[in-house]
Amino acid sequence: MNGEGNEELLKAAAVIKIELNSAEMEQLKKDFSLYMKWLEPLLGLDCNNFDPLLFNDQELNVMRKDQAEQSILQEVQSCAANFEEGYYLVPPIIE
Amino acid sequence: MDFTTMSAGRLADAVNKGELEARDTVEKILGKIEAVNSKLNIFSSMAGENALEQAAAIDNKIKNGICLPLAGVPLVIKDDLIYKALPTSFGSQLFKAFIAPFSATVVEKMAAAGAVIIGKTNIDNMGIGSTTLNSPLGPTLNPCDTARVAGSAGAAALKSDICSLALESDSGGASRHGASNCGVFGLLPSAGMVSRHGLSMHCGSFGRVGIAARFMEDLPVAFKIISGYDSRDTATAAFNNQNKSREKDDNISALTIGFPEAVFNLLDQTHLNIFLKLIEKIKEAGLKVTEVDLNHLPEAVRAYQVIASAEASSTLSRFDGIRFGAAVEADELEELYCKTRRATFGIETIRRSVFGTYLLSKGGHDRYYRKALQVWKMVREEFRRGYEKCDLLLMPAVGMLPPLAEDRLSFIDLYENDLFTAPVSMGGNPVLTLPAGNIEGLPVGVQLVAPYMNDQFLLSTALRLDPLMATNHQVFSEGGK
Repeated sequence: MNGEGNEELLKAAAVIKIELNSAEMEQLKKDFSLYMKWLEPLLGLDCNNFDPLLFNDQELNVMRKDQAEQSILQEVQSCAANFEEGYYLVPPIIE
Repeated sequence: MDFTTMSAGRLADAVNKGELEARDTVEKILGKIEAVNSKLNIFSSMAGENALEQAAAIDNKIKNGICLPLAGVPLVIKDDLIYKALPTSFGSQLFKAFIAPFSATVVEKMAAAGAVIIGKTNIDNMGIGSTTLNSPLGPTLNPCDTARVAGSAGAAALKSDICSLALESDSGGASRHGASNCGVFGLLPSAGMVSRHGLSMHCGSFGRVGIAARFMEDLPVAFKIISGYDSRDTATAAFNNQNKSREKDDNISALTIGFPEAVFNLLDQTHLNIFLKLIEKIKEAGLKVTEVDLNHLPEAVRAYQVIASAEASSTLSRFDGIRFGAAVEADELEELYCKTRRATFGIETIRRSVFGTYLLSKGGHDRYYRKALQVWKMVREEFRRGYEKCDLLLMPAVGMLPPLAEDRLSFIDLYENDLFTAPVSMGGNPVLTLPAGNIEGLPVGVQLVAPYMNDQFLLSTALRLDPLMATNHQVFSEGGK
């Protein structure tokens, strides 16, 4: 893998916020190199006649009417680690 | 009466007629489920007493004159479908103690039809993989050869005679690999035919709910129950196309079965022999057979991987210990994110998250991701053109024996194992996996693929082809054992 690709990989690893030690990072670089090589046949394919496809469904989405339905808020709240006065309590994310 | 020799339909009939009590069947299953599970590692959680309560409730309904299409039929559900009576782990410690406040639509529908949920089945970490080798619980082993993986824990449960039906999910081929590896029947309906409300997915473009059974005849019954529009999933098709039929339905000899000519280059000799013998048998039965140009299967599986990885990196970003999942103790926020995700993401999940993030970045987007979306369109076109020459496509399900549980294949080998299944995922087509033969005593399946939304046509045709396939299963053996 070239230096540029290596740098891109390091950036991607930082973005996804996962703690990786140096040995794991080295393994990831090797895997990335294999992966890029594996993808090479894709690059040589002439797809100029095909627009990118964005959805697998071949039917139009049908939206439901905007009507109030029975709420399961209480059951949903039971999944939260902490819930108080209408708010989910989570660790502070503004420091 | 022994439920293991009966189809789900026959079992429900016996329960509806009072010849058999649902509770008796469930008690017999619970009597052997621990032993089977300790040998094969099928379950992430088992219903136990709750299953007996479900069965008793079914028996009461029957006594009150209510008939149910799946009365007392034992069912297992994959652990990415939420069920309010059992934990849903999605194959990760992140959701170790999570019990959903409601059930997935398909689970609700099966329970309302009288099915008894026996337990939730093992799954790869975050649903990523087609082997369960990425599960934190370890792989589910194949009942036909315990040195190898089953591919899908639901298929292993069916083959072990501890259930009659299994609710499955499938993005790149997991349920189809399982059905093929274990010699059971699987249906993956058209994209949009079955609600995904309550299904946890790493890849929304390709994730679908399917059903597997020990008997082919049970799939149309289960399909009728799980399919249809769901207002909670706006991606379900609004019209009821279940009864879509074609003039040729009643005359099987008027059908043309296509198969990709690329199989000659892509299959090893043993798998090719099984496939070609099946083609010969189909010809002998009077059906026409033709080769179809699906010439970009290797590129398609790569495009699938690019799109699936890109979507996984986005979808899984919310699992950070704050928005979803239990957080790991940490002094600072950044540390909390990093430690939580490290503790709960498996190696393959990390790999796809990193690769996917790269593929969506400035450097990777135009070079790989956009190209993959174009290949997706191209593959869709190839399938469409293919159906101009044939009514159904016959394709291999797998190109290799199920991986050994201990001898870990490289991640690239595992990606390649989706060679015949991932392109079908990209087409959104309905697909049946059927047993076709065996190699060294291990079952090998094929995929029968229909045009989009022709699910009913696929099922009715397969029912008539099933005796042919069943015969082949006995005849077409390759290798010893």
